[in-house]
Amino acid sequence: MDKEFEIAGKKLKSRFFIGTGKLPTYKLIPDIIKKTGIEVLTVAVRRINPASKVENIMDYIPKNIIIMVNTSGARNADEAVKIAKIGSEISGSKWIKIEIEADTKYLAPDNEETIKATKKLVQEGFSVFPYITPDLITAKKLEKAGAAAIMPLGSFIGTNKGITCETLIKPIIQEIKIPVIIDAGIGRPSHAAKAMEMGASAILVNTAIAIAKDPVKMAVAIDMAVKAGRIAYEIGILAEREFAEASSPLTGFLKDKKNDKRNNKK
Amino acid sequence: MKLNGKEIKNKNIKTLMDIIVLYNYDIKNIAILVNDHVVKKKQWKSYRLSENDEIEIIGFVGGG
Repeated sequence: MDKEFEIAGKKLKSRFFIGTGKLPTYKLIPDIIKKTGIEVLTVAVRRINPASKVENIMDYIPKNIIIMVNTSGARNADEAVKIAKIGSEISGSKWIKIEIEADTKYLAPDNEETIKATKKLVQEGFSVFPYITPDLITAKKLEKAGAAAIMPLGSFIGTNKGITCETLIKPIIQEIKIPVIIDAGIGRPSHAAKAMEMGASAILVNTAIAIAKDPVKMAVAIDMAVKAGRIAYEIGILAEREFAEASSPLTGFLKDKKNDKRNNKK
Repeated sequence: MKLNGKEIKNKNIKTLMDIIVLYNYDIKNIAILVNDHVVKKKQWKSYRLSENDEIEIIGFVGGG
């Protein structure tokens, strides 16, 4: 479990990535990092107004943390590429999460524009993490384009519904060689465990932590679930069975089968 | 000229650095666009602004 795994040329120990949106205060970030050991955080890019005396998120992110810049707000590939370049200028990080949404109700990712943006940014030397509606063919195209990982949604952003797209994500995990990071929809530890049991390389969680009564504790809880799910996956998840199989030895000395009325024979 | 979409007028503003100082920006974690193009940090001091320039100052906020 302590084995490192590699994404975009970086060796990581933690399979848990955290989004920083909607946190009540950025002051929680150092504590979340300390208590979970996470190594990757996402941030978004916005105008900074002159009068603003708001907290600067960068004051709370230690230097050793990898910053993944999210292109949220982009409505097409060109805008995503533009945001990525600006973000990279600020952070010095080449890690970009491409999030392109042409829809505001479900924040549904535009897979087609995401492929375009991925091709462009890979050519320019970025490590690209595309957030997509789970679709195997899109994932294959992204892999071919040189994406660093695939980030299929478990459910729509902020819905806390868990891995509702399981049947669409499974083939991506099976067929794609680059890491698969399940992003969005993970609302509680059991969802995180499920994602890891399925064989996801990592997960990204934001809302479930940010709006929890105690974000630090929720991050810790989800971190435990990530670890538990990963260990179980590495050992091998057992297949489901239709009928019972005794886990205690049947009492062989109760020989009188005639009086046993439990059998379902008709 | 415009700063983040708002008209600003000040005779003392000649370079990008003047804006940063005047508006008290933290130079550590920002990027600056002039007319939609990123101006690299090392050019901020020397970059001369003209009347119709549109300046955007961009930074990070929390995001998923």
